[in-house]
Amino acid sequence: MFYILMLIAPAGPRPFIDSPQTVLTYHPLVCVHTRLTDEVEDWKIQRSLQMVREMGAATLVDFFPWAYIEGTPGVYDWGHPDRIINDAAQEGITVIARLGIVPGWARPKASVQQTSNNSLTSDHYADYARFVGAFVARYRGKVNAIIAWNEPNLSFEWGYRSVPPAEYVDFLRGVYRAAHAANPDVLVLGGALAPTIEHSDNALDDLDYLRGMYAAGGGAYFDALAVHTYGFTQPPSADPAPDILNFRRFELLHAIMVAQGDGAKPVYITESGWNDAPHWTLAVTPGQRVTYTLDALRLAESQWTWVKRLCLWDFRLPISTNSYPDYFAFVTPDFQARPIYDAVKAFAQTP
Amino acid sequence: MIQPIRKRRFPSPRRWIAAALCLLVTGLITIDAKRAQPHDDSLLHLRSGILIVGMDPSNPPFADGRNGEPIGLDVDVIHAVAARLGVTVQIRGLGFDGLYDALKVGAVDVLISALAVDPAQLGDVRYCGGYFDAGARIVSAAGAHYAKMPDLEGRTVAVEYGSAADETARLWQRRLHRLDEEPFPTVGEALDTLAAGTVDAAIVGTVDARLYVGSHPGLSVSAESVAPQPYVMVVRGSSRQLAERINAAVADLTQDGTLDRIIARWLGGS
Repeated sequence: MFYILMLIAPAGPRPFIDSPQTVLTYHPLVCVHTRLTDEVEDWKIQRSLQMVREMGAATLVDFFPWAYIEGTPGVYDWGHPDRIINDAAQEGITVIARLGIVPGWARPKASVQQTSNNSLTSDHYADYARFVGAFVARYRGKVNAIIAWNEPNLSFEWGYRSVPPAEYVDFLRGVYRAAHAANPDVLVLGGALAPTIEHSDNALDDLDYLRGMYAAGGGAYFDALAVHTYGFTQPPSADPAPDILNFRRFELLHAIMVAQGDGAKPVYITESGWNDAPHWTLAVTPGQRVTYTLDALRLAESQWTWVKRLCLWDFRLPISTNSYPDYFAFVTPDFQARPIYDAVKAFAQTP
Repeated sequence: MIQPIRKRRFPSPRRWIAAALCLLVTGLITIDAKRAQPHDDSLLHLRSGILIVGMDPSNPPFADGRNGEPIGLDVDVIHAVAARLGVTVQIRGLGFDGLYDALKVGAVDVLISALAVDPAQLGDVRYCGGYFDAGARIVSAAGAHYAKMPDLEGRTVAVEYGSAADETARLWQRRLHRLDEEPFPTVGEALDTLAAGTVDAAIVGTVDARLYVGSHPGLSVSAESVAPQPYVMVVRGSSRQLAERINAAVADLTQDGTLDRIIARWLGGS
């Protein structure tokens, strides 16, 4: 029986073959958003991280779903995050952890209401905050920045509810306190707003949402602003405007921070980049993508001194979507580097 | 050898008890299965004459909403399906990332958005049968007759570097004696190289193949894909009846040629 159980038991962590590595880069601003959450096989996690290191990205953002870790209240399964965070440390890469996805036990009952994985009602904010505290405590010294929720200005990311900024601030307050109680040095990154100009049941304009956050006293509950800013079809030099979505829209967000007396607060651009799908209406050509991405890195490095990291979406998908999101990726699911990978690697290795 | 006929005997009480227990267990399993089966509410909207459809309107030629109401292949397909179901379509434009959540919370009844089956979603949703094969096809000079990958033995093919077609070509490089592959940064460059006569064939996705050949009459597309990639409509896991009715409608549309005409309208050719 013992041998049968051994055969069906999941494999243990894959041992490291090499000694600890260091990321060699002239541009510590370079960061990439990986998608290792749904990766099952250790060798794929390690190969991804090796390629991230070789590209010259010293920081990555990845997603650590609460539902995967605390499937039962108070019972934590740290196996998968341990693997990713330890493997990243082995490669010399710092992890920024994005925390979301609500476990079934913390969501409204399906018999009462159909819910999505992002349905977190206010009676469970404290549960999420407690989980954040546990995560931050466990990875103290390894993960020093967390992103509390993703794009709360989109209804589907906020559990298909309306998106009043004050509600997010209520949520963020508990997270901030729990995270700092667990590790006073951790950075709580707030915002991570989706770039949008919508004012509808589906979404709220990110500029208005940020103003709403400050109006509700939210400025006290994040150590740094997480920003999503995509170029879409425009070059990084294109002028920003409230009714236009482009790379420099970030400057409008930062102007709001300055107006609120929060201009010295650091900023982490945790999602950015261009897409080179052949037919998507918001894509550019592969050549433009390379040029725009490198120009964006140079612009942020030379002019946006308060921006600490520029994380490009996304490094690799575990499986293909067979649609345009595949063309955000730097390498294919079978680890073939696309031209953007080689371009960013060359940039990182050049003073 | 002829077997002697065994004399039938009346079953023993022990066998009666065992049979009764089997019946009881079977009955309990049946009752439990009925209880466990989720309530199928997918036809509620249909009864009110509306099918609420989720799609990402930023993905031509399947759905393009840049000029207002979305137009495209997917839009025409879902209208044709709805006509067979006797209902009208109400389209809800969504971002790609929000499609599945909208379905799961009941904000829409069905998704059609150039979607391939995503194994990660299988616990929550039900995929209908395919309505369009977007898989890689062989494009070659008209009359070259490269219908299947083995026909490319000893030939040189152009592909987009890192694409699904590239993976297919590399797979067949291992299966054939000789297949040379030339990777290009984009699909367009691979096809332009073919048009210039530098390679024997290009392997690209169906959409690119048909659109390109439509404007290059000297080229043709293989009738079958060499790596099928069906696009499918998606309903909630509990929407069994709706999935069945959509599948029946698509079968009808295929049989009477409507589906081919819709595809030809947006991609050219036949």
